[in-house]
Amino acid sequence: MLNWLLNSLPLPYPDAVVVVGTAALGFVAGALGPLLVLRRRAMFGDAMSHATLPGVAIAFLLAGTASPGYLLLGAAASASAAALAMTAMVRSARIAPDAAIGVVLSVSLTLGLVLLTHIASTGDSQQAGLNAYLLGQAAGMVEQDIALTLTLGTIALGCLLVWFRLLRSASFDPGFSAVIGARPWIVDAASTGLLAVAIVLGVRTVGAILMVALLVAPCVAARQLTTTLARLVPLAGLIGAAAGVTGGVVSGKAELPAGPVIVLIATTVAVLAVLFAPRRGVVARSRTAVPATRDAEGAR
Amino acid sequence: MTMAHPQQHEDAVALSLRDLRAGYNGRTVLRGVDLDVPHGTFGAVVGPNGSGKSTLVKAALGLLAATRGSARFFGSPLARVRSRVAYVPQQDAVAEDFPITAVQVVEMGRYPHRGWFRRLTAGDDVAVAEAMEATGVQGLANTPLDELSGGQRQRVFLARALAQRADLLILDEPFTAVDARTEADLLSLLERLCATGVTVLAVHHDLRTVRDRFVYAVLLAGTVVAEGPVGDALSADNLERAYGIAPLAQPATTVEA
Repeated sequence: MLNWLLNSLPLPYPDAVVVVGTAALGFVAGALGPLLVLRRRAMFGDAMSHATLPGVAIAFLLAGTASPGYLLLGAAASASAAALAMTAMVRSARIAPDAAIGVVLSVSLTLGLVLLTHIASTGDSQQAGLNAYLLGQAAGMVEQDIALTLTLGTIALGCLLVWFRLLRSASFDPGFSAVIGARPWIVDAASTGLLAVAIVLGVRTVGAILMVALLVAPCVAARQLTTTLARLVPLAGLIGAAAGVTGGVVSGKAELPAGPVIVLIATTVAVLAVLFAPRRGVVARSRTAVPATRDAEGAR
Repeated sequence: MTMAHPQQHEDAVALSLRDLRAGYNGRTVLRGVDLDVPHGTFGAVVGPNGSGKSTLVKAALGLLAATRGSARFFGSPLARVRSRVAYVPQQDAVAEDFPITAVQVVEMGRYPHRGWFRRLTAGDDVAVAEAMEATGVQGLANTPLDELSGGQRQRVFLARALAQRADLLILDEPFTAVDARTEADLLSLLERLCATGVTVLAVHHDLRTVRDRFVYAVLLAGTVVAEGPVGDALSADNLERAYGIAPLAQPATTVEA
């Protein structure tokens, strides 16, 4: 199936792998992004994403090989540890959320950079490729990477679909949802787990530093163009996929790191949508001057 | 040991609190709250700023962990009677710019009956439509929530509570950010609902409205200063004990939250 898809694209095989891989990644990240944006936890996700770096480095040091399977396992472990650390700091130590995020994000990045520098200085021949986890690299993607993205991505999107009512209610009105039986810790754990999947899948292609932008920008763009979550999620997925493909191909041709190119494209789409969206865009709003119903109700 | 909850009269008391204590970040706001809200009453929770009005509601509903004491609804823990209790939170507790339409908000009122996974039924659709008609938002069903005025939004949230067909409505400051006409409409609607046997308990800061329209009141100042029929609970003596002044002594004075 995957083989057939890769061979039927009018592209050389390595390019086809990049196109399909970045499209799948962009769709998964874009569709899961609303869990961050609509719950106002974008910076929480950013800290989780940075926290994948020390995990990747430690996994390499322990396993002695740059095989992506081990490294992504390490990334998942340290991203989850960071999420738990931030939650514990806020809940138990009564540290303000922004302070907890700031501490975890900068400590993770520092630790990651120290470990990566140490690995580079040992001149280990295996260390080639580790730097991809910083700023991302689409070239060199192989079929197994796509298979992993498709498998985990399908599971994550399936969970999003099954838990859609719960996640939408709890994100929109946490108080009401808790009263009717949505346990807040289950909602937090489910959405953090799904985000961890998206981050781990994307960290090698987009990079730990920029991954959050691929989660946030498609959602911001799609929010401008839709009025319900059921439409926002697939549209954000499509915007993420488009940014992934374009960025993946362009970065390969121009020999640029993939992460910044993908993120610049996704952000451009978001900025255009914020400015020019038909109803909610800055331009449309300034033309209609008065928001139609907000203050006029008393007069009716 | 704390006093027992009134078990045998489970349908005479809508909400019963025993020795409830709650607060934020280790600071106790409310202590020693004993309360029995009679079923079928039109009740208000009043008190000065920081007297624990919202804290009382949130602790009773389990949104804030009570550090002591217990709450029962119709004689049972909330977990066993969730569909019978409808909650309308403060406006600022709801995500402001969420992609959702008015009818989708009202449909949430059916989730306690249908759960998180089952489809809504034709009966649910009827309950939703009737609730939206009752609050006058049937024409706004497919309007995105962020395009509604404060008054229209509150009508939608009240419709959600009506669609739930609950026996107890708990509202936290339902009339802030709402125009005068909507407040009057919603008050009459709540009164009519009480006439059908539903209990209403609303946190409210406007003593004048409470005295003129409500039947039952709980007066708070860190604990229950008085409870009972509005005229008794909000007597001049009680108000002076709660507020330290006599807020209803001067004409046309309201005490702002």
